[in-house]
Amino acid sequence: MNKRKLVVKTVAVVLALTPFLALTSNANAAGPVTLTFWSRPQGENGGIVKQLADAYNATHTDIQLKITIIPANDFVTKVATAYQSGEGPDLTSVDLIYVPFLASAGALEDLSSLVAGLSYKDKWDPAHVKLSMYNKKWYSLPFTGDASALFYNKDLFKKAGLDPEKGPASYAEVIDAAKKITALGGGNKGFYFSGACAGCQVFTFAPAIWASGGDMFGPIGEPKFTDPNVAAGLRYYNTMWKNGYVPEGAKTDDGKNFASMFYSGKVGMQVSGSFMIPELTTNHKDINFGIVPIPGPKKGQSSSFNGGDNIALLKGAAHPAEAREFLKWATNEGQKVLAQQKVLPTRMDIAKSDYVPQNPYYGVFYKAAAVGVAPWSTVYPAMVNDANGPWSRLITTTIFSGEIAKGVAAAQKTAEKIYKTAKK
Amino acid sequence: MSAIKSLTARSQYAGKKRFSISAGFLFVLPAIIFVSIFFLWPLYKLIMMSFQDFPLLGDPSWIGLDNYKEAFTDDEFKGSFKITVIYTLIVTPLLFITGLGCALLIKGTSRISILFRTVFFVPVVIGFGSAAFLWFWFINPDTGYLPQILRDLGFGDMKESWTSTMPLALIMVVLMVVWKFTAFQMIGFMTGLQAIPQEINESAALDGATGMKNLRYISLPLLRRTIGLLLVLSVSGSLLAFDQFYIITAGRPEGQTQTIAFYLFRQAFLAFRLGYGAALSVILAVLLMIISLIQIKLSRMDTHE
Repeated sequence: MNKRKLVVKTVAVVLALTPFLALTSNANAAGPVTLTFWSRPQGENGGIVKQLADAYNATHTDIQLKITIIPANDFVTKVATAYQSGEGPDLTSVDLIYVPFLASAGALEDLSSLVAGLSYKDKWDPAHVKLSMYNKKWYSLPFTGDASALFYNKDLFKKAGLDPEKGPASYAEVIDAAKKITALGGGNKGFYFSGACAGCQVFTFAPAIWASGGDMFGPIGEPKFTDPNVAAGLRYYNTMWKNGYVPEGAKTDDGKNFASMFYSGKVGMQVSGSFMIPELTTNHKDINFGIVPIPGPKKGQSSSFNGGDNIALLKGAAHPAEAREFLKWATNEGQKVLAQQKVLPTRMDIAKSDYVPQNPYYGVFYKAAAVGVAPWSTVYPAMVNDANGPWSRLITTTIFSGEIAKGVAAAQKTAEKIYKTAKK
Repeated sequence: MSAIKSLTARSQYAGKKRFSISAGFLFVLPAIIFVSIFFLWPLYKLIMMSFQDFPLLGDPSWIGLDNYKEAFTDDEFKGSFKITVIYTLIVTPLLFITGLGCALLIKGTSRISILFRTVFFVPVVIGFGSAAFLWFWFINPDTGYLPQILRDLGFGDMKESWTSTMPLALIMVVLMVVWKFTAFQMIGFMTGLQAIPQEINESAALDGATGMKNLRYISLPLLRRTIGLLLVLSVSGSLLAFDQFYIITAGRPEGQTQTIAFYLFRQAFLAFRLGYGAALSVILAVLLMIISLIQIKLSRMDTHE
């Protein structure tokens, strides 16, 4: 190799290495600390996290947020594999039901001392608080809320001789209203649900079980499908199905028609989330609708699935102190940004002052969040989300077949098998 | 550079055979390296994982044969085994018949034959996932073409989803796979048929063996190697079936269309039990190897007669 070639090669190598020099200098530079923050798409257009980051970055010069949005489907696997290979983010917003899994695997920092110093630690909604904790320690903080409630068609109620300003308040009242609306004929049906969608059903149907204080799972995710309230809930839906108060498509709807059935104006009642409100008020103005809390077996009982995200600090994060500063902001001023963008905050006080006044319907979701539940399990995907898992198998069969005792026993057996492999 | 020079120089004295082995080995070396990195190493890791409790997050721990013991007492795994074998036993002969049938029908050189060959082959080149989605939409009771056509022809309201009952759910998947892969088998058979020398067909025709007789006594026996190859591909592909079941039936109804690959996917990526998923993969791989070896042996045996 002649001298010229050698010089050219050396220069090329040096130039190729200069980006790495920039990386090393960042740690000691006086510039802002960059926190990496991953999230799935959230909010009405999936852009709430970016809006939050923009709001934070505009008002903070010492810390800047760099966000990455990852599709919800692969989110946990991506975060887990990135964390394992040491390339995970500092902070992550994660669907609250995954927090126990991540915490039990030792991927999250203990935030208990941070929480102890927060003046508003008793202002969070119960579901997000429960899901933040593992072994009585805080491993994440409540972030965004998303509660379910019962929508009903006021015009159909009126036609059926029911009071349009009073939604149903118990199983019996729902069944009665469904019966009367179906009796109107003309393709009208009393009630709708996506019967082949496990995730939809835990959002819409499970609250009917929780309203009476029952649950499919115990405090640390132990399967309790044999809880008599579970059977009572299944019987409630089965009654409506076998009497023909539910459209036939419900049996095989895997979530595709979740919202469209109510929008058709031919369904009397359906449990759903606040995301339906803008669609109804913009594109289906002809539907006169009301929203009430999801009723339980007896009047006065109600519950909700309060989902959404929690926000966590991953172990081995490059800037844990700055990340904690952001966490404080995200659970305080950040909550106001959420409220302005019509996302239900997990801070109940901010929800009341900033979220509820924006829309006459939001009050119900605020009340729903106050009694909302989310199942705590370190093996949530296998137990609940899996289309072939025990929850899915149970609700996609027994509600339609009516063979409740058999279905419950089978679900309990499968769930116990899964629970044996779970970290406690 | 100099190593090769000295090798070949030496072997010029050592004899012709040695030369071809050394140089040949060096030519194959890149492929060996590629296969080692992208196949052998991951296979080794997989086998190691199958002897461990390997969670997605956290530290793996050695548990010996426990994963295998669990697999042999796992009812759901046994169920997936059963449906996979049934599916293989249905699809393989079907593809054989339709592939051979198409090959015989359009083995000519006319423009129509060539056109149909292309038309039949298009589904083969669509990705498996895309084809499954296409079919999923095609048979959907609310938006699909097929139910609508049957509705218009007066066969009823077609409201019930065809993937919610057995055996209809399995039949839907089988139909999709036959639609997709017939042409692949067809091309294989065509090539095999074209390799039969014309003189054999001519002399067979002189002896009165035409049409079905030709097929039975001349063509099929001479196609043994081709049949053997297509069978191996068809059977191994069917035993590994995943995409079509995941997309079209999602295991419905009640997990009755859950194949082995689908079940191990759930264990690895929904239950996050990578070690158990690895053990199930190894069992499937061993099964495939055994079946393929048997098939290859059978197809080789007869050609030596």
